[in-house]
Amino acid sequence: MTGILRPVAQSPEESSGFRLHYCSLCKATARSWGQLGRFFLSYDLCFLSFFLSSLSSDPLRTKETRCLVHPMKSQTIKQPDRIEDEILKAQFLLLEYQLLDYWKDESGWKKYLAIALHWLVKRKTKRTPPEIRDIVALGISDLQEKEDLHCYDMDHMALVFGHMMEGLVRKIADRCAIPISSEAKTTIRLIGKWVFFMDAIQDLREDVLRMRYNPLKYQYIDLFLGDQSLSESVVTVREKERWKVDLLISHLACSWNELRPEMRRYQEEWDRFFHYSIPAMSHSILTHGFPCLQTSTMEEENGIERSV
Amino acid sequence: MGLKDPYEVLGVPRNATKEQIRQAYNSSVKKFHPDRYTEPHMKELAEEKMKEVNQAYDELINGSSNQGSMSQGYSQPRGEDTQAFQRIRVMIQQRQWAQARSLLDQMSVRPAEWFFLQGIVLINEGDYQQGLSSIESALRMEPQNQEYQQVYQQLRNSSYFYRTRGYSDQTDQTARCCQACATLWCLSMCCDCGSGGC
Repeated sequence: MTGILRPVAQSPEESSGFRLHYCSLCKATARSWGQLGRFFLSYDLCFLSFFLSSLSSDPLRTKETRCLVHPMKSQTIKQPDRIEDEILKAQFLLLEYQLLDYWKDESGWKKYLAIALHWLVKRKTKRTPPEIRDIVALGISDLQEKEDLHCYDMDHMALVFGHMMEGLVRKIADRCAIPISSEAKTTIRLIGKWVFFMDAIQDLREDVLRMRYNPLKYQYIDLFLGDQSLSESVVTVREKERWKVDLLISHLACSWNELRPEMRRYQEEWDRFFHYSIPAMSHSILTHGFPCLQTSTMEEENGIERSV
Repeated sequence: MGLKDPYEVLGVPRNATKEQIRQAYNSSVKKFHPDRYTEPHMKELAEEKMKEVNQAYDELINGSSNQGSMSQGYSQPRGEDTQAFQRIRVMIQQRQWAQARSLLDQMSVRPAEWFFLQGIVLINEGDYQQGLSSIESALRMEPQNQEYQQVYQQLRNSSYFYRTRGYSDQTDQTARCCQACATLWCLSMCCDCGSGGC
């Protein structure tokens, strides 16, 4: 996961729901893994926690607390609940796979650090429920199989990732007794697809240089072997992929529209997420190659209008 | 996930002779031979390209490629096929993608309309690249067809609805979503924007 699943907000109030869940997950991570565990906190998993919590009919309980990151001013955080507990387990399971990936890709001291961390994380993830472990393992092995074949089909790879994310959310929701509709499943699947797309576009240059797998590298192989420089080729690929990202955003917008009535909390914040954050983040990655989190800069540069 | 189109890999037309295919193969081998590259990442890409070129050549020369596909594609729809296409269009409007796809798969005659409808189904199922290729095939067969042209243009130049509209308020959302659907379902084919829903 990439850490791009987060709101692009102009003021803290606009992302208050997300922040509430983020602070809560951060604190839970520290409780469970010690203070250093906070470094492994994932925006994407926090997003899933926020998503499931917004679908849940259980009342949202909050409290004011200080922490190591905010020692002076107390923050409002969500009180620990079942969703957070399950998300925490999934977070470290995904970290385990991520470290395995680093282990494979990196060299030198980074490789040894990944091996050591992987060993530590693996000991902790033994408690992960088998159904969650299975769904992630299945998705990862499917992706790995296609990676080994140098699959160039971006849509297919992104969809496999989307299915994995959907499965993960479904299992966590089952364990927390949250009903998940087909609209919610579709939305999560598309979110997963979008994350995979953005990640591939964002990492393309680095993946070509470091000889790592990226479907776009194989899809546009002629371009990379042509006369353009690597940087120029990457920009061309981004432009060529723009129409697909647009379609994906359209798909997501429609899917969200159908899901909206089911969201019990933070509907406006979710509106902003689907209609503003995702398009803005996509445009920034397609234009600059990295996510831009400054709303004003993004609006000026990309011409995205926004009037609240 | 299949192999890349061998004709595209070698850059030859679909009606190319074996001699033309051989020539294209030789020139590709010269152009992409890994020994021509010094940087490791370029060497890796060239090796991958050579694999593609060899597979494409093998497929075209050894006859495993479907030489008859285009002649099949150009065939004219019969009466019952026209009816089937109408049914598929209704299914698309009702967003029954799996059923539409299943009916398309059962059809043996594959004129431009078949490729067009398959493209629409694939795109709505999330297979954007294959969907676009399918619509391109339809356009190659019937370049004058305005519906195909319009959908193709709309897909390629998908307007940034979020850039021109942006986030504003609740009332604007229906309009925005309908615009998104219009891009998706291709020119209101499957979206009744008049009713305000998608």
